[in-house]
Amino acid sequence: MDSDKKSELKGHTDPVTNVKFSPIDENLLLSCSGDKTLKLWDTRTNKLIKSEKTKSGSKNITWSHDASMFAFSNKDDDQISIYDMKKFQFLKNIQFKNKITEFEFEKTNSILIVTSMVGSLYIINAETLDENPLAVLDAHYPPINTLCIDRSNKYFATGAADALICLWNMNELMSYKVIKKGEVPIRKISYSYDSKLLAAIYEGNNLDIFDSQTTECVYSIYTESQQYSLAWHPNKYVLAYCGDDKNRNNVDEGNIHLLINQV
Amino acid sequence: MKENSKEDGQIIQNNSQVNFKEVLNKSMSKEFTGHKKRVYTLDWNMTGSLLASGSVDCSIKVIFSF
Repeated sequence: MDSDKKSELKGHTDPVTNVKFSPIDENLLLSCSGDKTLKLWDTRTNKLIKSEKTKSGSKNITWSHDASMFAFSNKDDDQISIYDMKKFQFLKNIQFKNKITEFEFEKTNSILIVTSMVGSLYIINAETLDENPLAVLDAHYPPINTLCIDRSNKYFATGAADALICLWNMNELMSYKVIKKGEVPIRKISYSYDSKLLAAIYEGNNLDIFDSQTTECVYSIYTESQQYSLAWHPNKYVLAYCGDDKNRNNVDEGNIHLLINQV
Repeated sequence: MKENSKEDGQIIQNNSQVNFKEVLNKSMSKEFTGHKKRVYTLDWNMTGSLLASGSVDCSIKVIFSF
């Protein structure tokens, strides 16, 4: 891994809250920020392709699997806006009665799965984008903080303040397994490319990696400071994670960590 | 049907029991510096050739990987 090859995308004027690469173009990146803009970047040239003003700063963005749409939430966490990617045009707003956290399109664009702060999952029709959910599934003791659909689109996992990770079957929309270790709220989870491992970061310290079939914890990392995000590499057992690392003088270090498994 | 996939030199048989503890214990860690403040978000591109990160410092960094 070439650590000297780094580039910087400058343009946001407030903290960058989310970055997501296109699922079909390896050089196309969407970002959102407290500066109330969504920005589309070309990572080949490091140039800004588009900047779109939004009503409020967003914390979460997600692409549909075919990159035909993307969705982002608002500052108040009670609305998801959907955009047509090709026209880069606003399509629809979906309003929620309760605050929502993370959301992802099922990979054939049949549904949008939305996790909420009241502990339920909202299943939204991704074709009509009707704000009346197709179903509301009771899931966790609130709030649900994180959602991850696996690469195969057969399973998804949710992690919540109740310290549980629920594993769900996509076809039946039913939870078939629960991973529990300790009492600490789950902050964020990520499936490995082959769905066999599930990595989780908690409120506070620690990152755990679980075997998704046996639910056993197979690896633990003590993290000095709070981590905010993690993501498995798309075809290797390499895990990236980042957070609030500080140096001895309590100054932000801005580190990105990698756990690399190359035997 | 057994499927063998070559993963960085190690053959992993999909149907047999993989000792993940053993596999992961052979991991190494690496750190990238560059952001001046907390890093909120990161994402790999679809091929895994790039890793992007976003920070409180208002910038996005892109690392060329593997």
